[in-house]
Amino acid sequence: MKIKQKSPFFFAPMRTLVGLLTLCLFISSAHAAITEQNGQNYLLALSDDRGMAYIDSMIFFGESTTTHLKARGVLGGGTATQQVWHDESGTRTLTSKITSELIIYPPTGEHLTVTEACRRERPACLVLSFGLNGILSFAKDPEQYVFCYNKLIDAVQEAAPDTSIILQTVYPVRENNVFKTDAATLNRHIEEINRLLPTICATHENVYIADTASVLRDADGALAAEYATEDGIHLTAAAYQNILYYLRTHAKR
Amino acid sequence: MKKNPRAKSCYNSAWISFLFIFLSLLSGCQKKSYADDRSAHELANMAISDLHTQMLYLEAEPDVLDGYFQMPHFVTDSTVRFSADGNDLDEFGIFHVKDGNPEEMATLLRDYLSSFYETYNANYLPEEIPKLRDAEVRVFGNYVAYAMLAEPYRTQFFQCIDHALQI
Repeated sequence: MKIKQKSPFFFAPMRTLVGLLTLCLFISSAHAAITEQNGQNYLLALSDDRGMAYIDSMIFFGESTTTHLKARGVLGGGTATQQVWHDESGTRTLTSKITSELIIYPPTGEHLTVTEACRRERPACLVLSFGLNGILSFAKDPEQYVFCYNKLIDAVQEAAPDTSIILQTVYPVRENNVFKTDAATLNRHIEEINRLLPTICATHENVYIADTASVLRDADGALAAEYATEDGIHLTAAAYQNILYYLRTHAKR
Repeated sequence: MKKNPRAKSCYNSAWISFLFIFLSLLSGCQKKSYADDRSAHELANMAISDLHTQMLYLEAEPDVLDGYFQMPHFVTDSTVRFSADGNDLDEFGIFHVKDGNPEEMATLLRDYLSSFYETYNANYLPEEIPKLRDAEVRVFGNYVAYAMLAEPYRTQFFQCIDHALQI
């Protein structure tokens, strides 16, 4: 009795389809993991372009990659912008000291804590960016990251209850001499940290995630060469323009 | 045989000298006594005044170290001061604890300093790294102080606390 066999050409497309479906499910679940907590999505979705007027309503506070927004002159006021809060060092690490440490409040040049500055400024939107400084420590102790970020947000919200807060995903890196760890490992740790952001959002109102890191990655998940300065960590003006465009087009409703 | 009175006198003098030296050494070996009623805030202000630097020190919020450890119940008073200049990592703290707990507090502070040093990115402010590396914790009775200061300020700081508390 001849056994009818299915053509091998039947199985190949089926396997491909199954593979694609599996991949789609994986990507969507990974994306959900980075943006959702308890089924609630904190990621700022694609919106119409709100333009630079929307950006003008923002204050930026974070690590050196945030301070360089000023150096690259991409915000209103260029290199004299008053939208970036930083101290003399131009950098900041997210620790429990974050609410005690000082920034130079741009309108007056005074040294204030970020809480005091928020109380004065009452910004419409505060864009925070932390996680690269201390990444190796956070990778070992992710609760420390969540704790310190929550501490900062609690303090900001007490000082300026109407201020919306946007947490930027941590930017990727290229091979560099800043960290002793290779870029692939660092970027993996960065993704682990980014997956903590929904946990932080879940304990507050009016706190959102902007996946600005997504516009900086190359196919391997590293910082794209065209966006990196020589040290493999910091960003070019083109990178910041992309980041700001992302913020404009993923506006809070 | 008659005893030599001169020899006896020499013997007595030697014995008295020995006793005098022995007692002096003994007093030097005794543990120092420290006051237990000074405020940490007051001690910190004295130390800042004593350091004679241009540095502006600010008082940190009470929960500044809560990312490193929960303030133990046996701490009755504390202050942490740090440099207002973001390019400077100068920092010190003074903690008053209940009897029997200074060493436990000292351990917490040493762990904090060690953690800070290990996680600090050496590429930022590399000239400040020695302060982190050489940061010290000392116990003065029921007071525990740490200093993340360059020399000679670190030594001066601890000397000031020691003098202020010694009774």
